Amino acid sequence: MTAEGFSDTTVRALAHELKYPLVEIARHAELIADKQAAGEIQSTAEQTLRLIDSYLLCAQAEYGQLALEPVTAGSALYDVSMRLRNIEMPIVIDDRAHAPVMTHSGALTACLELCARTLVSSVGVTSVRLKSFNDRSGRIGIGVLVDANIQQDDFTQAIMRAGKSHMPLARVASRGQVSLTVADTLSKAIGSSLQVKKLGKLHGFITYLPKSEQMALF
Amino acid sequence: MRILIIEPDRKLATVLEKSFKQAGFAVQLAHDGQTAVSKADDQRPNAVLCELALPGQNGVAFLQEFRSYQDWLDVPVFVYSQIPCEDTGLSARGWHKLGVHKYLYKPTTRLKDLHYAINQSLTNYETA
Repeated sequence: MTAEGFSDTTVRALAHELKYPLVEIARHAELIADKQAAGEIQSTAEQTLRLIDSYLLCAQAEYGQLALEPVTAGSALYDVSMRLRNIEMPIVIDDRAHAPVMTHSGALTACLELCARTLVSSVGVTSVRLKSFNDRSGRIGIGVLVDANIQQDDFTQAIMRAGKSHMPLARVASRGQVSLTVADTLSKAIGSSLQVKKLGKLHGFITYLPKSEQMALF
Repeated sequence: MRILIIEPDRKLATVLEKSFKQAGFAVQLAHDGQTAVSKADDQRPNAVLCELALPGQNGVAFLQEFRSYQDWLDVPVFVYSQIPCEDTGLSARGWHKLGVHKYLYKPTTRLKDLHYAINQSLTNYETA
């Protein structure tokens, strides 16, 4: 086994191992009488668990192990909204595509969740819009948009530096930098890439995916 | 309603035991497959909640053994595991053959959702 291989195996094993204490914390919190405190503990533990799962998916993706399948855009957006339920701000699902895409469900939802959390932790947004739409080239755009006046250049720089820097959103974010790199890797693993998008007054990240002809027949 | 919980993580096992008792279940607790078989032998459970990552014998091997006993063929089994379903290598048909009613991934399944899934599944099972 090479040093690189050992390191990868160890990191993956460590990631799995970390899930044990976090599940203990999250489930134990549900039995605490102070519901507000319990909710905070629980959501932090669960968010960390999902982060670990996203990193593991990212590791799988680098070995080309993600199988694509038809997934409806609406169900993917709903899954993302459920993952974001602890962010304490309105989440709007705006599913205009009404169509299935070829993707890996876990990778897509993890990618969008990471983007949303990075945006929420970056700037003072008051709501999150999860959007899907048909674009002119016949693909479906799925993404996360926020109601903040963010400079386009921040995101452009972030995408350019994703994977090359530990702080791709350094100018606006105090945390979530690695998350954006992971999101970008997951997006590439499902045959797309994260793109900066401005729709009206909203800004955010969009990933473009091919329609699933297979499921569209139904 | 008696539930046999097979959970190797002792702290989590205590949490599960407490929550199921609060929900009105009688709980039998085991930390490995062999203890689970002897507990089920003492008192037949109405349902089994099982982690797959067990010490000694893995969860799938335990379920195969559990199902090999005629008396327990119709006991509904729920997998509550740290391992994502897609990483187990078993298809939906494979789980069905083992008599697994639901596969619940621990990191994303809260206790209230776990109770709900089990209660709903048991109700449907009894009325069928």
